Amino acid sequence: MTDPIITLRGLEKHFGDVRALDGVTADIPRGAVGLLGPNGSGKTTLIKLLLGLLKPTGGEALVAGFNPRKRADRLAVRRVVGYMPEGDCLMPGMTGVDLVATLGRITGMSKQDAMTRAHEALNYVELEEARYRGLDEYSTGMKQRLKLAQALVHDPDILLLDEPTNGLDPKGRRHMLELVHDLGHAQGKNILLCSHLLPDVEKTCDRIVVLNRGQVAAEGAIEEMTRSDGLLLSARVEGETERFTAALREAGYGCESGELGTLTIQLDGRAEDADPIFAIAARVGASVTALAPVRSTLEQVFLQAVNEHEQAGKTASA
Amino acid sequence: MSAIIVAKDVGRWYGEVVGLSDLSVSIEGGVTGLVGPNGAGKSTFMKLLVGEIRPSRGALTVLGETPFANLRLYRRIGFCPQQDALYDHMRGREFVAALVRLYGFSAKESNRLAIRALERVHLEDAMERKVGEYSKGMRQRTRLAQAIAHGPELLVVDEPLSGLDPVARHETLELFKELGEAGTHVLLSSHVLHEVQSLTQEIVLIHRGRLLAQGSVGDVRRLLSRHPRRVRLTVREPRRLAEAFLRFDHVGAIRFHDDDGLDVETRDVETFFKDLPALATELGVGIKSLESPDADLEAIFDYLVG
Amino acid sequence: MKATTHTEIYRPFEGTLSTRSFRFLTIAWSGIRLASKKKLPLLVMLGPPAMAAIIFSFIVYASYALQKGEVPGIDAGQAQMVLALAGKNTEVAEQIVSFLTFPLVRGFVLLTVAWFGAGMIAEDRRLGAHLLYFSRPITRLDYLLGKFLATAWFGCLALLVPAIAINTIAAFSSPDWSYVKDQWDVILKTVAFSAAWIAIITALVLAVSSLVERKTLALAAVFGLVFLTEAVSNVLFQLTHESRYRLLSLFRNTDRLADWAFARKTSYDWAPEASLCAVSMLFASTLFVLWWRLRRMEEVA
Repeated sequence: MTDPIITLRGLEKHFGDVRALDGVTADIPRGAVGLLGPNGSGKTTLIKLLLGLLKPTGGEALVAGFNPRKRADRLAVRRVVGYMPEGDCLMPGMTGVDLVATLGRITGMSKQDAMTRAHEALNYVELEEARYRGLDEYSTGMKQRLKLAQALVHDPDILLLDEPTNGLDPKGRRHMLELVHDLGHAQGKNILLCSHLLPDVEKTCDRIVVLNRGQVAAEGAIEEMTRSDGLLLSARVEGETERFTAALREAGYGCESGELGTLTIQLDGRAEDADPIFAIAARVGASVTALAPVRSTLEQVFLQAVNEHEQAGKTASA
Repeated sequence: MSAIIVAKDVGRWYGEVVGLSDLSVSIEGGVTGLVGPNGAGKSTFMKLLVGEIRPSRGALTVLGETPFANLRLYRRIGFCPQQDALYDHMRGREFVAALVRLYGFSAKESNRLAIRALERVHLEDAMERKVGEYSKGMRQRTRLAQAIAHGPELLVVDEPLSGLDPVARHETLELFKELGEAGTHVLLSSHVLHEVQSLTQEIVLIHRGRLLAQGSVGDVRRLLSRHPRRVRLTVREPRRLAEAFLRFDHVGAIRFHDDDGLDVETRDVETFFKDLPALATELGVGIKSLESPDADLEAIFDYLVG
Repeated sequence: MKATTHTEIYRPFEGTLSTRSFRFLTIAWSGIRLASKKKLPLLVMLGPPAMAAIIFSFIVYASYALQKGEVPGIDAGQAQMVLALAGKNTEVAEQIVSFLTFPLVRGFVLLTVAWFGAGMIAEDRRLGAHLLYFSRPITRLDYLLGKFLATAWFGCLALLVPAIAINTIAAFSSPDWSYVKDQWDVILKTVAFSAAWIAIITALVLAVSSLVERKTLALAAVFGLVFLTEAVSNVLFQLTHESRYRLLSLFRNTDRLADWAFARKTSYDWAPEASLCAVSMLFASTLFVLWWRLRRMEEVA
């Protein structure tokens, strides 16, 4: 792993008595990282600190080597970061191109560069003829993509994306996720993605950082955190289900039926693959329609991390 | 089971703007997911169901009655709208109790019901605070509490998960599951399809104000015979297995990916699944996993809406 | 020719980002363009001051023409009539002060600045658009200057440009450029007075705009504030006949300052320093409010 793109060292931010961030220490590596946490866990505060909009109460953050606490660095940070805010933040009356180009100029691009880049960014997010229309005519999906385009206009190294799929319908959501995935993987952008939709994070990010009560509750690679231990198989079977279950038990496989007609089979490392299971299905004449090693979902990983952190907090305070 | 919602040629316009164009659908009890792209008419349909607005055309019955301005029916329905309209100056408990009182409960009873509902949505610690101080997620849960407080037979919820964090999403979905198991009919709309599918297999898909599909996810997928089913396998020896698949005349395409991945397109997935165990046993190619990437609600939505 | 393909969808930006800090000009220019999209309010609001300027220009022109004894285009009788309308004093300086403190002009300048400035910060706050600015390499000062210039621009269109036009007419119609030679201080004073007046109301409007979340509310608040102080000052003055209460009124103060600046006979009985002090206090407090609100905005961004 190369140098982390964002380094957090004991970062604290208190608002009066509220400890929004309570000693966050983490190395956020290059690549696409999901920033997860329940409401009020400090995600928004962290983003503001990274952008230099807030001054930390204690500790330090380094974004691409810049310390947003220092006045000179603060503006430098904002040159290498593209931020896509959560809310509906677009001024009506402006056209899409106008908005993106203006924001490009504010970031320090020349007039010609800003115009060229505005069009390229808009092409990339597939806002074709809509770019010349007023923002009040934009649909939710178009607004979200425009917000992404404005974050891309100065070609930043780091993208902070706050709930990019918020309010999108399934089609719009898929499109947005494709763009985010492409940026993080094909375009080599470093992405910090905040989302409440864990499958979105799973589809676009390689790693996650889970915040809870202003502290890091868990972090790591999604692949590893959800890795299967190879001991359990989940299967769906149609026709002859009962005979199949009975035959499995007879052969010595533990087996339980779970939600929505799935069957959890204890493989217990007795086989490298599922061939013996297929053999049993073939014998009783059952159709196997789905079969996969049981792995935790990101949701399970997340809920467990938050729960354990809560418990640890309670024990510590007691 | 008999239908609890029957719509026949129901349409609703707002001036020239069409909210719902011509919907005929009959929804049976249990938990049903209402899905469709933005502007399909989901919210309009829900408002029609709870009697908030009157259809411009067609006939609609809910629990056997016409919903518009039907006070008797209002008590049997709980509605959680999408709009974030709450009285900010009231406490959470007061707000929910005030709404429950409208159904004709006594002040004391309303209060009791309000507290119980707020506990169910895990707002017990915040219910004495002003609604204006609530976060987006808490407001969402307050809306949900007022919808379930009076113990409705039918719960109509419009995007109840939007703005909720993963913990609250999980808890809310669990709540709907419990309500469904306890016999409450739930009609829920959401853009997050995998969450709908984790709750129910019964879906109604509307698009452009019309019914596009209804039924269980599996049945609807079977009807889409135009799109051959994809089956994705990870196999130790994918090429040997593929060779065997070539003999199946319902297999239309085979594609390899990575070292051990194999995608198969079949026009007859039932036969495919039926024959696979025997084939796997005979060849011993080492199948590690088997899944159908285009059989879920996401895929159906994709194929039908585009 | 060597065959190449360029199928990449996303192209990296090869240029450089300048670190010069003139970002406020971009913000100002964007604000001006956005506000000028609707032409009708611009015409309605700039019309009356422009017409007043034409009338005053004509008076200036006619008085010089009469001095020279030649009146091309109109006959001497008509010119006399216009001058009679303008009052006895046909000094250019007098005409310019009259224009600058003319109630209709003053009202419309305030209306113009309020109309275009009321939404500048309020709408950004309502929509959260300031997030898009403050996540970019600009400082609060850049943002404030940008909004300030954009708003002041419309004030200039309403007041400074017509005032300069009158001066220009005077310069051209005075015999042998005597106006420029002898009364150049009037020109400077015109510019300085207009600029100061625009700066004060711009700051006032922006301060109000930064406190509320809606353009209409800001508009109402600005006019409420101005009319309320005006009314209170008037009522207290009528009751007590103490002129210090008139210091509450923005318009009385600027009238007093105009009389002082252009060395005109004044009808007010207090020292110009008192007015200067009152106006400076207003200006300073609006700037203070702005700075405090912007600080909050950046943090809450």
